[in-house]
Amino acid sequence: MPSSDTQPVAQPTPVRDLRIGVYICRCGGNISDVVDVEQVAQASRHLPGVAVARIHTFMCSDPGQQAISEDIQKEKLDRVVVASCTPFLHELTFRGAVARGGLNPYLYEHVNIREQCSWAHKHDPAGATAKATRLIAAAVGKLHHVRPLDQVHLPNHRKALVIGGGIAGLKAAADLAARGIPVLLVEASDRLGGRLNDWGRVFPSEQPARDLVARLVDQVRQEARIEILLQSQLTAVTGFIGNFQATITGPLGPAGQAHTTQATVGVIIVATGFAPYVPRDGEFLYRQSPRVVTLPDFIRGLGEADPQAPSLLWQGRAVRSVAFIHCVGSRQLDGVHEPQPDGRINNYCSRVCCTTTLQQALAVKRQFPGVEVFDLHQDIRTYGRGHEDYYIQASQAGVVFFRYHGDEPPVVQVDPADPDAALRLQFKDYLTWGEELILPVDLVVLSVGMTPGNALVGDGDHSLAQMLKIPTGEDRFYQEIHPKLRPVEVSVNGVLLAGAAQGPMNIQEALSAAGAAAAKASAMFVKDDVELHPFIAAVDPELCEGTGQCLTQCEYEGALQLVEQEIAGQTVRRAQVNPGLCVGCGACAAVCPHRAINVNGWTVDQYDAMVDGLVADLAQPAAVA
Amino acid sequence: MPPKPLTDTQKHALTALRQRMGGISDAKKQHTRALNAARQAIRQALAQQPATVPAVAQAIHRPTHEVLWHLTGMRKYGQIQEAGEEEGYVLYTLTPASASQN
Amino acid sequence: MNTPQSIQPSPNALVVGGGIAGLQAALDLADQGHRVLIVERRPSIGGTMIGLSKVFPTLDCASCITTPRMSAAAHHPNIQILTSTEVKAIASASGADSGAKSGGNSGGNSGGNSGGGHAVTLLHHPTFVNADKCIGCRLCEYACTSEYPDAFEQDLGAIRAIAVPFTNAIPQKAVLDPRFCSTCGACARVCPTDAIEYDQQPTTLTIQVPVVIVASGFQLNSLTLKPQYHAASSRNIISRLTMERLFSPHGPFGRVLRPSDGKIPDSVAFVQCAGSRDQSIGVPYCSRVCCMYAIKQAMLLSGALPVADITIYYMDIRAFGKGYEQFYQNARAMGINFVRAKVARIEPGDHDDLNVHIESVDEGGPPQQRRHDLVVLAQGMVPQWDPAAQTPLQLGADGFVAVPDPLAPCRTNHPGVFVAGTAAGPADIVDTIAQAGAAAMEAGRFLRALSPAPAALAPAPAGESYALV
Repeated sequence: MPSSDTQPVAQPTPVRDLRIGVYICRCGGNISDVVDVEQVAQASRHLPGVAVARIHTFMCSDPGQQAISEDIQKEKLDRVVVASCTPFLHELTFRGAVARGGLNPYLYEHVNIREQCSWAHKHDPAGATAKATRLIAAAVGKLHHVRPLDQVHLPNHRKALVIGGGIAGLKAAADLAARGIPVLLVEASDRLGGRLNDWGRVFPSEQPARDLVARLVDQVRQEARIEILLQSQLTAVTGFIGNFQATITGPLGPAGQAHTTQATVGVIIVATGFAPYVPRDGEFLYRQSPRVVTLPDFIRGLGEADPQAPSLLWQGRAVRSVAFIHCVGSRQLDGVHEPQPDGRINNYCSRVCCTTTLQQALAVKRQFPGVEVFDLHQDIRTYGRGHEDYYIQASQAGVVFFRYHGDEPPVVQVDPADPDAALRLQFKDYLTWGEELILPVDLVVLSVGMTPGNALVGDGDHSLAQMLKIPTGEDRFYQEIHPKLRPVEVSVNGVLLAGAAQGPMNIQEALSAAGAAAAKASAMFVKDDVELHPFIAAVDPELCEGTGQCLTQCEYEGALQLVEQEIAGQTVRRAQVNPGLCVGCGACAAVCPHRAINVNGWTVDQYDAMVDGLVADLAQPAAVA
Repeated sequence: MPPKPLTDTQKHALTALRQRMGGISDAKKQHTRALNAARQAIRQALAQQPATVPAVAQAIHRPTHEVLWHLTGMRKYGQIQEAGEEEGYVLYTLTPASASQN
Repeated sequence: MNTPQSIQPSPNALVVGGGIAGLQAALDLADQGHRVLIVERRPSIGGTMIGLSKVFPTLDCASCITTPRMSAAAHHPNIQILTSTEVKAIASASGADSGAKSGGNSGGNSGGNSGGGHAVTLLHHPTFVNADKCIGCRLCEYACTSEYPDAFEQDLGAIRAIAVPFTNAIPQKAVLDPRFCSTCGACARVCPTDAIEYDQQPTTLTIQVPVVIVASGFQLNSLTLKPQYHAASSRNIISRLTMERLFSPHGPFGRVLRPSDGKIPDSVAFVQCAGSRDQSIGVPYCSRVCCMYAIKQAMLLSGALPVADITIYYMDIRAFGKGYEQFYQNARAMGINFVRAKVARIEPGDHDDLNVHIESVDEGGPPQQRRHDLVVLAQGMVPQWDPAAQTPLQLGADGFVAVPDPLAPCRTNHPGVFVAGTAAGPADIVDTIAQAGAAAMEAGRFLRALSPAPAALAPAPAGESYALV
């Protein structure tokens, strides 16, 4: 439970006699090509309490930030507005600048005049300028009702939960343990190593995948700081960053009861990996002909093949020709491909299949030079370090390449006259200008893509997304906050992504992502407590009458409760907020009949002031509400 | 703030720097002369009316790419600005501040 | 920002390169409580990325992603930055090699020595401006009369002999380039803080540091590598980084114009694989980002020049990353012409135009000739820095820093030296940032193995500064 000093308390407003600084960014023309920033600055100077209004080419640059810090000192500013791009990019930047100037960082309002003005109203400069002015007026109005806020500090449990014992999970666990951070590693199957256990050799090093797995598993098993739970799943989680309470359910014991483990962890790393796409029955004759297999099946089969055998055998039959079809279950097009069960198509590239396919094509050619190998692709995407060599070598080894168009996928047929004869592969080849070809082949290998999959964890994976509230993208993979700014974080604080659960990746990329996630987690544990933003609900005990209406709207279990308090000798019930669980959604504030509960930084009074600012007659300096 | 005279220390340091650079090379002198001449010519060409790169090039007998480069510098330092388009080319004109110095 | 005289001793890690990889690695390591020194050869941090316009697949403005990183590094209590400084040598202090074992269970190359680690020799070039006094007011720049082609603008724009390097440079300090200076003294006469110091000398210093992260980045191979493209005889055959500057609102022209005569282009071609995937020029590998940036630039062009014809000549479109394929399909739907063709040669034509001779793969038929007024060549990525001569690092056959252990994509052959970003081969920004995080993690593991006490966010010890050699 939060101690009393972390319990947020609402504060009265408004504040008078302010000195507000307004800073308007040109964004190197992104804003000033449309918005007349001089006019906006001029209008801002007439707003109540505004002492300074300045324009800068890049407010986010060092001199821009410095101008704010210096003005706070020199001009004795006590509130700051920056009108620039979306707060998503730079709100924190400018809070930092305000703090460096010696002001509480929450005495700051961010106004978005790029996305909301210059970009949205590109063809209406006058309108965009007027809107920018009014948005600033709203922010200035709000600042008259803003008080200093402090970050919420919560205890930080120095332990990580890693979900998934594949290559990414193992790497993240090993990294964290090596930094001295205890790890609980949970794996749904009965062995560590994930998909790599069943893989052949990895590209480009050509080392056996099982050797890599064995090395990493050894590292993890020898780490005293890593506790491993196999055949186990996360079945419940409560809490928040620094303080997650996880319930992990293990296999059924002899008495028919599942063993459960409780753990308190500071951070959760999700490394649940991928599942290969499973073609629908009949898709390229999959499951209708035993001679149509997926790439993982083929890799396993080739790995088991007798290297001394004179020819390639598949299920006892000699194979004289193999055709690989790329992009099965990937790069699907609307109107061409049948949607997946959820109604979506897999319109993404699975990234690893091209190189894997060529690696296998080359392996067949090297092991069984007599076998004809065909490769049917749209584009060859051997993008990575050492990948192109496979393409070059496969060409040199005699692999025959054909190119099909995505809207005309190849068709696999059984010879109607002789079902035992070779399969017929029919397609238009655009390396020969769209010539219609029919190839007889003994084996068709479908280069299937990656899906987020749930084969290992059953429905658990779906519920994992729900339990942890991790958003997913259109491609169903877990969605990071921003691919460049915050690539391993999700919108839930303290939950990090590692590896192919986030999207198709090869082994090295998954290892890098896991390392990046471990670095973030490790940085989080440098401090003994977790700092969270203060934009959470706060109760004014003077106004609260304990109606409990706020509780009926709160969707975050434990975030809000009614507690008994002694006030003036009487025992009364008052709402109380748990700062770790409240997300600051404001549902409570909307229903309180007494305005007794508010979201810090976004109180109803502040909204009123913003609306007043928006509608004020800007020609006439408005009085402070 | 008006420019102030160099101190003796600065003068000595400047001389020493010139010596470290092996003096001002002929190429550098040539570049400076050509730069000043071209900029002056361009200002004159734009003094009457806005003009495109090919028009300026024709007026001052310099290659178009060279004129374009000079215009980038003049634009960067606030001496010229755009004044519309003409037949697929941008029209440039002197900025008010720059024109008043002519 | 720091000068050789002001930097605090005993950083835990030295990061070679202040581009996005180096910045991210430094931030992720500094956030773990380690003291980091970033060394950047140019006068500003930000690397290649700060010169880009918008970045795929989100079309965020590159400045908006890079400046926060630059600013965060510049303000981080655990990070020091030395700009205008080159790494001349990395030598291992005695025992570093012999005591280390790579591989193994303890996280690989964490054996190492407990002492000095690496002796890194740095050469700081004079900027002739006192960084502590300069307030970035640019009065010197406006007073200067020497103007030269600006390398940051790919030589299309102009820069003065003394100038703040570019709009959002960090540090925002003037730098005097002696190659351009005419020693007229005008800058010193107008400087309000007397920051100009004509007598600054190069400084060599040696730093002992347990960990080095190499993030030295890439450069493009030559535009004229393929003589059949005749890039030497036309200014309208440009590099992709030049195109980026043309898109930038504060780029050389402030808009997209072709360099030969300032014409607003109405037909632009992108020629892919013009310096990669070609054994004849010694670059057999794929440069990995060219497909996506061509698609991105085509999309930006169609926004900037709505009536222009935009064509991408390619052999394979490699849209492999998260959201990339969808981005590619959007570009097709927008009407960008994707032509699968071999470009046999490019010939300068009339009116500074270019005739692109192609053999179409999809359509077949005889070779065709197509006119464009601007051609962007997809040059290949090659390493920016060759560390082999000055450091114990091994390189791969492709010339990039080798990473021998498939389980540790950021670990070099040398204990305590890690690599991030395009120093280890072509990579896009997303992959670079992930790698940089991983390199910081590897470096953090290594440091922890040297000194198991938990790192704290303590300020760097004050005290003696380095002896200047």
